[in-house]
Amino acid sequence: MQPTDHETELLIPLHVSYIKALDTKVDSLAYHLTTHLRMNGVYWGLTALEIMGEPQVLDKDQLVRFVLSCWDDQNGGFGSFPNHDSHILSTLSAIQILAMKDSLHVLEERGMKQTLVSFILSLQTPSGSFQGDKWGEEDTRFLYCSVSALALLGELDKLDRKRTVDHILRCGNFDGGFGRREGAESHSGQVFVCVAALSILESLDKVDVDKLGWWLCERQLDNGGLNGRPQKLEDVCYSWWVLSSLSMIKRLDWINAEKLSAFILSAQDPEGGGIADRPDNVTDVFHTNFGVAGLSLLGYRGLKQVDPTYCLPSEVVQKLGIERDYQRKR
Amino acid sequence: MHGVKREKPTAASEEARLARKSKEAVKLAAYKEIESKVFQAKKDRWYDDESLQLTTNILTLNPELYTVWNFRRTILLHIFGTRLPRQASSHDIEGSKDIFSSLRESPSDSPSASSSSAGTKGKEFSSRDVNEAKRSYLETDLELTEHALRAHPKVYWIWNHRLWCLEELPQAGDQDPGLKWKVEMGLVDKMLQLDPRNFHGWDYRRTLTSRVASLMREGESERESSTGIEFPRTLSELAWDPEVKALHLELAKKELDYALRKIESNFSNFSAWHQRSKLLPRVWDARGLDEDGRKQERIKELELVKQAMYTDPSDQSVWIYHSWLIEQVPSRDILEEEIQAIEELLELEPDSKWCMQSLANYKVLLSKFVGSEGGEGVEENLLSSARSHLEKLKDIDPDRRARYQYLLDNLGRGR
Ligand SMILES: [Zn+2]
Repeated sequence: MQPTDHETELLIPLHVSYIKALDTKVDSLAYHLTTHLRMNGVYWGLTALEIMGEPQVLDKDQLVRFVLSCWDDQNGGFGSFPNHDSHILSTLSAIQILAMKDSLHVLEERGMKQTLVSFILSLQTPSGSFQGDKWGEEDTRFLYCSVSALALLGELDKLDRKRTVDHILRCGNFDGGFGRREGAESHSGQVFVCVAALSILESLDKVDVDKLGWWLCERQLDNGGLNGRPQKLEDVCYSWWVLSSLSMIKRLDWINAEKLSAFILSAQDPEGGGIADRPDNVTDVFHTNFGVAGLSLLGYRGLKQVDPTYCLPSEVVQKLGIERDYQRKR
Repeated sequence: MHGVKREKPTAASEEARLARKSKEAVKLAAYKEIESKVFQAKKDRWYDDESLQLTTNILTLNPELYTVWNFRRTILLHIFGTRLPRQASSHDIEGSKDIFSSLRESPSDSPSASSSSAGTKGKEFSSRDVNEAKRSYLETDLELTEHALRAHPKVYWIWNHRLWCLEELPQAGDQDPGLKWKVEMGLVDKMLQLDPRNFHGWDYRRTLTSRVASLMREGESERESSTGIEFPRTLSELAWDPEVKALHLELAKKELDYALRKIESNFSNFSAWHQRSKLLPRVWDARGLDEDGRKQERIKELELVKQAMYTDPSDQSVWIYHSWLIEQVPSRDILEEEIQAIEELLELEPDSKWCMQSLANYKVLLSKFVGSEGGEGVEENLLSSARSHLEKLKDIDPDRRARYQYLLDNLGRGR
């Protein structure tokens, strides 16, 4: 057998079998301790497989059945697992899975769509921010999830755009970035959600992109990886959030793409498969997806194109006719 | 998973793996049993002390189960709404069950202040008893979340639940209604001592401050309180009752001092610099400072920044903050002074990327003043000096080469 060099090659077959195997570990403690993330986990796994060109590894009917089994009849929306409460984090993942499987129509067929749209709209507060569920936590992550979900459902017209955009802008900071809420410190993940939501709402012209681009490109460390905030360690997931933000504001060349690719590849586990937060750490499906998506946006050969605004395969987004402008490495 | 080292499977660790696996099987069985009980209780809408205890058991094992935190709050609300002595005279809603058992035995078996005074079924209760009973439940949860946060300081759901408990917590007797929020500051202090960059801690701190601030607004007109504007934005945007305004200013100064202390113990604490950037302009607004007054304040702040710059010139936190102070309202004499100071630092640290980056930026800004006030030669000198900084940056910081080229391409434009 030819030895593969995980420092230079994405080990696609290994990652595909790694993701496939996740589903067979239902009798592990780790599987049961992560039910609160299952819907997101399925979305991460499926997206990575789609980008690696192996979507058939997960059975379509089974996926749709799983999503529908997580419907929360009492509150509307999807939970992370059957019998778990609905939350916008799992609701967006559910919609994304259905979109990738060309199955959004099942929502209408089962009479869930209007309830779902009402659930999402009910999360917006008078100030424009979004709660994650009825219990009241507010975060720009929830705003992004809501906006992205409405776009995927073709129901963006029902959103009060101005109130939403004004709220995002109030979460902006002195360094050009954005935080969880008004007053909160900039953080790469929150920058991604705010920039992507502004992009979906066609309001990126309200951002000082040179300033934001500066803060974002200073996230790259000498080892090629990107961090989430100043003076923090590099991480594959932050690499995706910074990279996709740079792509949306068209400043992708402000970081060293080759070094970032090398960093992501070096975080692979060449034996067990999957990608970790950084080299030699335990891998998981979350970092595997964001690593693969990052490489796709960086133009890595042999991968399907990813859309940075929705973190979905570009084909899916184009088919729904909701694509926004962004930059891709050639 | 974040920051967990991968272990190479070796012969020795294979044995350990098998041992771990059988141990895990035992744990798994126990976990699944309690998991199914909790979800069954939720499904059956069994809102009592027994269910509450089940949620404690599983949340101790897995604090990420947001659905169970939700269930726990639902149970508590139900207990507060239907089973506290407020409805003591109504008929027994849960059949033969003693609905007031909860008042005699607090859920975690800790001594409860209300247990002796709660009395038996049918007795008349004062609102004081109601509050005491409610407090006893919520204090149990505050204790639970404090332990949980020490072990898991980054789990969103725990912070949320804690905040909810505090919102619900009735004040004891005629104590200061702001007391619970002020006491809570002690916990945030501890959390931020353990990790001075924990953004949950900082966000929570801002939430507490804003609760304290809104209590100071009692008595203001409904029009003002209905604007939804919260501290510290209140300092800029509301027409204030002078007394409330003074209180809010004092609060803002306290928070500025807190951030300053964090900066003094570590200049690289970007979270603390951020906090100052959020408060300073609000304070200046509230004090009604004119342009010159603001300038004097910025000069004072620049002094602090200068110390940090000299302590560690490679620390980006300081430089990003510095550029914000400079760029708000660029002023010619501040620019000249700062450029000179940074040039001196550059002599000591000839390869400092941050010195060069700042110099390039500030020289371009200064050239705009010089240009508009005559002195073509000076302007050209500033621009060419900025150009050479940027050229050098392309060499010493090649990862961001394209950005420096972009700045070079735009140099001197937009005049
Ligand atoms: Zn990560």
